[in-house]
Amino acid sequence: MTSLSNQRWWSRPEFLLFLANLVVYFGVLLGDKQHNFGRAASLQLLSTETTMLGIFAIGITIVIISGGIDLSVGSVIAFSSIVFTITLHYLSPQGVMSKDGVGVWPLLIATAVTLITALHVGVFHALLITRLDLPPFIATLGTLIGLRSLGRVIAQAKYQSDKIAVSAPDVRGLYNWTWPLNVPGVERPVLIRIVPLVVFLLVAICAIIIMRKTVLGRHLYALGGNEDAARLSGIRTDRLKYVAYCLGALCSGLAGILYAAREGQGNSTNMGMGYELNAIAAAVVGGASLRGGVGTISGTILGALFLTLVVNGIPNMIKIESSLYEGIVVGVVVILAVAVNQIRGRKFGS
Amino acid sequence: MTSPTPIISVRNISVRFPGVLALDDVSLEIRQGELLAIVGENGAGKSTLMKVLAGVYSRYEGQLLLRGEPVRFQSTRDAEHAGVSIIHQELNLVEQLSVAANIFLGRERRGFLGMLDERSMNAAAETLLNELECRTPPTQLVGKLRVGDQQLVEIAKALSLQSDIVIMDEPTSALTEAESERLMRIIARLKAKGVTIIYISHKMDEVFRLADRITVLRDGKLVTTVLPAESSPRSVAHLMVGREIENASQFEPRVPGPVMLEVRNVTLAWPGHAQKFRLRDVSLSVRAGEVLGIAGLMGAGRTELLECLYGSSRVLPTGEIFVNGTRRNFRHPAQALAAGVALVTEDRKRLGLFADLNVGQNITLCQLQDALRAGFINNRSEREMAEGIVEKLHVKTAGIEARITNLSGGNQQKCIIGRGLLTRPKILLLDDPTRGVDVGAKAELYRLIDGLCREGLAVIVTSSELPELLTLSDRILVLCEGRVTGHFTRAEATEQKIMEAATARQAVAV
Repeated sequence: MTSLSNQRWWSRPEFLLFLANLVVYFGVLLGDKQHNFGRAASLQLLSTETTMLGIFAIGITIVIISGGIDLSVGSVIAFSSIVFTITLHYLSPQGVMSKDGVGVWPLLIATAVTLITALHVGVFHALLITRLDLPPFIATLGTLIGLRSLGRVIAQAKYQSDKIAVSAPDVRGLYNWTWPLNVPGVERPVLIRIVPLVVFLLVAICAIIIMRKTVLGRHLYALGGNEDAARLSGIRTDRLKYVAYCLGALCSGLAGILYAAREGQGNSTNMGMGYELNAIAAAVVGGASLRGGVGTISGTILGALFLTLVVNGIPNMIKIESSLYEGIVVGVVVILAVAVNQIRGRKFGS
Repeated sequence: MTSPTPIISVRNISVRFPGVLALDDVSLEIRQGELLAIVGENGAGKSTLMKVLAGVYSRYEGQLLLRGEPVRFQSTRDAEHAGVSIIHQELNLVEQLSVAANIFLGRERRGFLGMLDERSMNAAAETLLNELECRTPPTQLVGKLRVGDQQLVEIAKALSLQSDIVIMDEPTSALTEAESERLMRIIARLKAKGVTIIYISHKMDEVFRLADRITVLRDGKLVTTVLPAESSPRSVAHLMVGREIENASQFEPRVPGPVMLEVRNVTLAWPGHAQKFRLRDVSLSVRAGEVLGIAGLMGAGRTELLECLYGSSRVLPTGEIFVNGTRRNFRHPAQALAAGVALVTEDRKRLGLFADLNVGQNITLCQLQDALRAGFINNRSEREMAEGIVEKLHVKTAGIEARITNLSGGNQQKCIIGRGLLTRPKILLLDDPTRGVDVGAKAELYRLIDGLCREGLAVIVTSSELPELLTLSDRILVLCEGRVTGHFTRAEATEQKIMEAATARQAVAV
């Protein structure tokens, strides 16, 4: 009873998505006349983008499975970057700009403060949804708009600037610390970013275990599938919503710390802009249903990889500027992927 | 009487649903300008017949003649075109739109440049409403109106369609006395204008006051048509039940144990509704090893009563509920389950099934803690739990990994009962457990309930089918409009007595 899906492994969406990933990868590899794709730099980009997107896409997947939606992902990332950098400035005013770094304790404390703040955003969402009966869309739309502005207000009040710079090497190292991985057939070692990868793996493993092997996970599926029936089955549906939105916000908080390390600053103005939509796209491409009750963590991870592959791969084949056409490509891919799922679902008669 | 050709002739109409014959070869003639009342138990086929007449169902056998011409409506719009309007029990209005907008919905009057001609529609709506003694301004939002006024909006809509045949499906079920009186006057006025009215109700006093003729349906068949002058409410109630006592299939007498559940004066408010209370001063008790049946027509409060006992009612009831001697007014189903009370809900699809979970996961959901090893769900333990229930309740399934939606209604119901049983309840509440279940599976569910009861469970079962309650129950409590109007032991109970109590509008002095 490990699988929630009743289909054979070869007809499950995860496997099809895995095949689609291979097809896109090798398709681009063959079609790329300049031979940029498949080199170390592009592999490094793929792995980094997938892990970063994967972290917060896993969070939103949990919320979507529970029958909700979290539009605040990008804003929570931005707000978390502000909280993280401000806390570092507060704990180690000299260290943040020096070559010596801030030290282990300030890093750990700032991380904890950021995650606790993110947790409160999740609590706030669940409070609005359970106590005031707000639709999740509205509750998280409010924080999507509000948090970004709040981050700027805090930054302006404290540092008279929208951006809070941090150049300490140990903070930047959260993103920059790499490990050379030798991939056969690639000209030089691929530099894997260690911290994002480890965070991603931990988040992924925890989420997979929670969703597949715990009562909590099963109850989240039940809540998303049929909320009334879940309540009548003695499931404390309100408490469960707190858990779902807190897990979602925590993942965004983690991503916010890593983005702050990447940019070397806390930035509430344009960091993470629109990332909630990329996260939702990864989840639905991975088989999650916005109606709730359906979806898997592994599907979302493959969905994140697929989106990253398409966005970074297709421009290599048809000589276009990646950022210019990214939106069109992602839009088409999302619609296609969900349409394929819908048609398959109809065939299975759900 | 007034015209030789009947305005509607129903000729040998049958309607089949999967597993049920909802209407069985019904023939009926309705005369121009008369008020024909149609009465019958829940599930007798009243609503199905009306839906055929109003074009909701177009798949039926037999023939429908309108003013002597054969017709087959494909949609309610077809029927409206032909002058047949239906006023459903659950009103079909858009609450966010104004009264006038609802009356002209889909037939909006247009003026300059095709824009809505609000003024003309409002004026027309006002004239119609005035005819109906309704003082509501036509610009008012329908959602702000009381149910009685909403109903008048529906009637105004029917009038604006120039309908000369109006079907009313239990129109007074949600009205106050004063609103009902007004409706009676309006019906009399419509009749005077020559409108033919088909009136569905199970309230004998109304039927006898209004009807020119009364047609009785039972089990999808037309029993007879009587004239009010030559009949009595009592004899019509008997005709509705019909079947002479067929209690042969009763189970061996059971030996009840100690009282497991006692309910004293439970009252459930109904905010914003004319009836004010869904339940009024309900008291009952159930012993271990005993089945208490709860009878009542639609809207009598059966489901609400079970929700109060299970702690799932949105509005908190007042009164006292004792489980095993301690006072327990549950506020959440989790508390009820922990105290040994389990509920199997009436609306399986909406409130019971998890379509995205498989058969096994549907069964184990409430008691997953039993399958935990070191905090994680152990596949083998979960499988054993689920397979235990599949075996014990004889669930027919391709396996516990099958889709729950691929099971038949009866087998889905067994899974949900099994989900409740895994919580090791002492009191099992079953809300209409055989709804939508075919005949063979029903008998199996009866044996299952009897067996569980003999294992010492206290069972409360509601049903809209009287023979079912007579088969299962040791005692039967009858509800009518939220009050207890009858209480019978198995020896005393007959379908006639229960039906009389269920249609009595005021509480019988106890």
